[in-house]
Amino acid sequence: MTLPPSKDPLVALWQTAPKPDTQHLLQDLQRVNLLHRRTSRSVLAILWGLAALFLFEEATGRVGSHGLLTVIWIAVILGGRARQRRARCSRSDALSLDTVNLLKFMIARAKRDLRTARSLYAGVPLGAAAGAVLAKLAGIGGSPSVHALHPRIQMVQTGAGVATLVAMTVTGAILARARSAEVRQLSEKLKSAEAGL
Amino acid sequence: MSGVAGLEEIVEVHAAMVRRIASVYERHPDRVDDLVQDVWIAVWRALPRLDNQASLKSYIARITQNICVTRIRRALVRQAEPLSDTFADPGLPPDEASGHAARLACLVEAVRNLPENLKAVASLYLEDMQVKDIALALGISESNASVRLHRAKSAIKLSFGDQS
Repeated sequence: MTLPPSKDPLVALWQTAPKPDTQHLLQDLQRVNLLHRRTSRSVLAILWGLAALFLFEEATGRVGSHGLLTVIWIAVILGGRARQRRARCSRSDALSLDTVNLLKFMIARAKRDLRTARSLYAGVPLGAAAGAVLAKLAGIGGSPSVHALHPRIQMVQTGAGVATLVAMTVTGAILARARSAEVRQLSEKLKSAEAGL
Repeated sequence: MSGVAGLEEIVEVHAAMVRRIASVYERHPDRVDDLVQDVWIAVWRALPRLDNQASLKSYIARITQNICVTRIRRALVRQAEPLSDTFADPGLPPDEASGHAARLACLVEAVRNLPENLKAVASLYLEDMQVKDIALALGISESNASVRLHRAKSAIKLSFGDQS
């Protein structure tokens, strides 16, 4: 397809820029697409593998969670999958929106992510502390079998719990920092795009 | 049109346009490559939903523009200037090539130095898009796009004249 040369010399000059190597680009695209598909499948396989493990544990009666953990885990996977599919179907982003509306949409999404991140890094430790205090005040403890555990195992359990809390807090803080910067940059871009005449 | 075969054809026709627009927003060739790749992945995914082949150029230009404008600079440490720009043209004889490449580089630099709101309008105009399509792509009124375009062209000509 050859387009007629433009009358504006600037446009004509602009369009004389050398053509990029499309063969190389296509190969890159195929590679990226393949990698993306493989990664998605691997993550999904791991998640369903864990679900299968939980089911096995429940079926053999080795875990006394009354199926709650398994149900929560499978519900989270299904929920995440449904959300991903819905996001893909109603993809109202760079493909369907104009620049100003896309920026507004992205700012709203970044703000939502920022709230989630903040609840991770602030809400999780606060929730854990509040839960611990309430449990102590109400005299709710672990099941009798917990007290029968070896002190070393109890220590490992506590350590794992604290490590999870710290990891969630750190992840939340990192996410919040990134989202906060995103909101700031996008807002500046929107301001610039909407700049009055 | 969908799949790799359809994409190949579209890439062949519009690759230069996508790269030119991306080059306005990023100076470093690696970053331009990243942007171009993001654009084509988005186009590839959008292909099955594309009904009107006639407006393909505007559609791809809009996607490119949107991806370039909304891209967030995450790696601020990688802001080193490139040794060479992406607009050198080795296809022309040395004298002509150097003159042509210099004029082209001046133009690119002039567009890059425009404020964001003028840059978007200018890069789409230089792709030979109509004011109506530019307004539609950016979500602004036609009159607004016209005024911005007038300002962008004045700024480019001024900057172009200063540098050449």
